[in-house]
Amino acid sequence: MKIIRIVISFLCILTFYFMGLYTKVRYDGEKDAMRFRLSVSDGLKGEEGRFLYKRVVETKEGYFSFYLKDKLVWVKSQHPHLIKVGDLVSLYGHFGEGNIFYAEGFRLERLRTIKMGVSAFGCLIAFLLYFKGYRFNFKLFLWEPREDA
Amino acid sequence: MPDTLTHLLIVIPVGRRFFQRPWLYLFYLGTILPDLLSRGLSAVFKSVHDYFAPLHTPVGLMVLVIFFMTFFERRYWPKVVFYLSLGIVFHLIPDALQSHIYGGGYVWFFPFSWWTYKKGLFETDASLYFLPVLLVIVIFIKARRSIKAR
Repeated sequence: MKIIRIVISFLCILTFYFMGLYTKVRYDGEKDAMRFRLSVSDGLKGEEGRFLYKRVVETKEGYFSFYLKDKLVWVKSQHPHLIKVGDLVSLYGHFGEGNIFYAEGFRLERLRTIKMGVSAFGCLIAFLLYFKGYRFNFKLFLWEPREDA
Repeated sequence: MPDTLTHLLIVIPVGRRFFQRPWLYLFYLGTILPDLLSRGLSAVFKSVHDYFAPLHTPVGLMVLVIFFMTFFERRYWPKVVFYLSLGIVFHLIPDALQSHIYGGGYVWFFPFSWWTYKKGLFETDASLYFLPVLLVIVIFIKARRSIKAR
């Protein structure tokens, strides 16, 4: 039985590795494409994950604009109702159709931070519940359901 | 993804009604497992994010469930697979309904296809707005059960 467990675990780990490798190769290719497209659109510099903070000067029909090198740049927003004139927006290096940036507002940055905290709290609760129901048998190296849970 | 607490609060009323302890807790664990490994680990080890990304896909999660199953006794394997998988399904449904900041969506048929799907009913951070409502509902259910038990 122990051998079967070891073989299955090993095969799973091997599968994780190859799936990860496959994803990495694909994502690396996409990132290169993004950088290339970034360099040809409106002179914007940056990489995925790096933020470029700009002040919003105008909003219109789901788009907002800001000045970049004295040039007004229009950007499509996924959360147009949250972005207002005067907001500080952070740009992510993501693209949609036709070299349109997808960007989010500064307020969403704060929301995202709260969300991370809430997520961590959720993980903690779930783990506490889980450990309440199971115990780990180190001799057999197995989890066992607790009958008194 | 909606935040992990929202994922958990969505399934608590369902789980408590239909499942028994201690399997109920496996169901709860299943609902956070996709984010815990794909997002949690990649938040800590940023340079290897792409390696953990498949752990938020149905096929990747199936392999993960099988891996997790091996840490239980043989007689528990069907139950472990069932409750964890069910939890995962309850995690993936809200994820499929949201919209993504940069378009796109989750790759549901990875590694066979890179086709993405999202319903776009709510935004990624919108879960924070209905989190308080869910909290009130779960506390209400819990309080009602406690009163009935007395």
